[in-house]
Amino acid sequence: MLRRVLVANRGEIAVRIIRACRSLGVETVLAASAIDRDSLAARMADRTVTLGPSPSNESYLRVGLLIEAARGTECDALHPGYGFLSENAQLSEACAEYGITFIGPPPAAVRSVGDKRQARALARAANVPIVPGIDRVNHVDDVIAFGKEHGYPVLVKAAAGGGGRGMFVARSEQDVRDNLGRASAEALAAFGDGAMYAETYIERARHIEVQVFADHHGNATHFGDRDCSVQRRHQKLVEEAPGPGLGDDLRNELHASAVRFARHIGYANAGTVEYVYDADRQRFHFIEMNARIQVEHPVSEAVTDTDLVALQLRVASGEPLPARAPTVSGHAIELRVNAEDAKAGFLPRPGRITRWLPPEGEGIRVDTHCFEGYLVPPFYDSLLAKLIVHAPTRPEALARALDAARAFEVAGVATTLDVHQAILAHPDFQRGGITTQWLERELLPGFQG
Amino acid sequence: MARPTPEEIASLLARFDSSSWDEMELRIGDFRLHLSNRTDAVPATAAPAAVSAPAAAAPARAAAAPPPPPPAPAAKVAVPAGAHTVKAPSLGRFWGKPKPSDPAFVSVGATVKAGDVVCLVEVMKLFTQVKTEIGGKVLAVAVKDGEMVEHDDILVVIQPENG
Repeated sequence: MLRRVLVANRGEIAVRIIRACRSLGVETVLAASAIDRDSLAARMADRTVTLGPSPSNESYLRVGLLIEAARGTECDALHPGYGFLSENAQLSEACAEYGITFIGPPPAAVRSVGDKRQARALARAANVPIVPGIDRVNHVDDVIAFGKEHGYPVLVKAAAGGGGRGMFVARSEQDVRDNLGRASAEALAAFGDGAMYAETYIERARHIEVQVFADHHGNATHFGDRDCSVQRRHQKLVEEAPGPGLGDDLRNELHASAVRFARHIGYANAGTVEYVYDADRQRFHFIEMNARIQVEHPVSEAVTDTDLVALQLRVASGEPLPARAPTVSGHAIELRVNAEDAKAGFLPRPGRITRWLPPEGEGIRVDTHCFEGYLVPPFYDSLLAKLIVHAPTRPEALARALDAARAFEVAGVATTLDVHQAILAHPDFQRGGITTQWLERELLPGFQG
Repeated sequence: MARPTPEEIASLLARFDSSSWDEMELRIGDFRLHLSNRTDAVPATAAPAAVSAPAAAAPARAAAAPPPPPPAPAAKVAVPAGAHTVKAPSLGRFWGKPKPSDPAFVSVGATVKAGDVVCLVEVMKLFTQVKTEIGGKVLAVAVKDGEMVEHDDILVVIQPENG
């Protein structure tokens, strides 16, 4: 097992990593910025070292400072958390150079999924479905043949440009015939290139992802899927596991493809394979892989009864994955409680927390670094806490989450708990299977008034 | 040496409870037991960490005391009133010489001018020159060559010229 871990992060994930280390008897050194010297994580860690000034580009984003902190405190491993340098291959390479175990995937795997085009090519090679498309339309018949094979609507756009010029959504063969010539001419006029590109148009998309895990002995497995479709400007607000309303066959296929991808790229440790799920065609397509532990990992922990961060430490120290494949039971929901004012366009509102009473009870978990009197600094993201509930069924989990969100008392800073309550109480969300556009199109206009 | 058995600890706790003592500390080899009746003696980590203790869903919240902390940095240097301190711009390794074979930038008793380089801080083979903003007499060099310093640690103490 590892002896002493440098925690190269802050906030709730630093607290989370320290707890996992403690449960395994591993010592911790927190690498903190000046303002985080007084954080909860700093109080919990066996030792805290100050990297540099508070802005992250002078502290958490400096590879060299983290390496020196690990060397100077004789840490044998480093946990990058999420965000900051967690998916920066330079950090994992520097760790390797200095004999520090990086608790995450090997640098080569980080690099191969960091480049989206390369990741897409790797997915194709691993027989993982990607959004179907034709790179170059030579004749109107190419699009018509494509539409016959993959169904409508089909998005046709200029290969050279963006901004909607030379782009149209074809809902039938007739649409293709009527619009292709005009769109190509428009593209030629706008970009000096009339080349066109076509792909399946996903009108109703859900964000579904699979938690994968691989060890250094050739084993790879998954810890089920998550639905993270409740998003605002691509920022997830609510996550749940498992994804509601996916059939068994489709779900099995989804999980298998994620594990296949992880194996294909020689992945190790925890990762997430993200998919767009086409709710109309009932098909999923690979988007990208996140080479780190994710914010929403606790919903997978809840339904598989696994401490994924502790497993990261075990796998990094060379232990194999457990022989028994994880099983999913019940339903879990996570609310990201941010210091933001939803009614004011989700304006971040850092400040001093004057009241902090998180809910407690059966099946309720709160991951946080906050406490009464804590000053939420203005330098970092606005995540205050993650409220996670687990219950035997989805309706019970929804009810429990709503109760817990109502019971959560916070004062001094604005929070997103009001919008969470509106989401949980909404019939569309309760039905399950909402799309990534639902929050912004359906819920927020009425909520914000 | 053998650690006390749970029964022995229980017996110690009972005796401590019935005693009039405020605190008791027992050390046997690397085993350390600290008992206290003082309400202010609660470890800092116990206070705000005690947010909702979840049921089975949560990862184990370590109940056991943390392992002994890693070695703390050396004691901070004394700074007389009116003295100027040169602090570390970031975490890194302290070097008082340009090269190992060179003489030190400054030594105790030496006189420096504003803008003089007093030491280097190394971050992965990149060396940053640390300069003093104020001239005067060097009272102390607080760190040894090769030691890790943290952001804002005092490196050199200077008595200002007119101070």
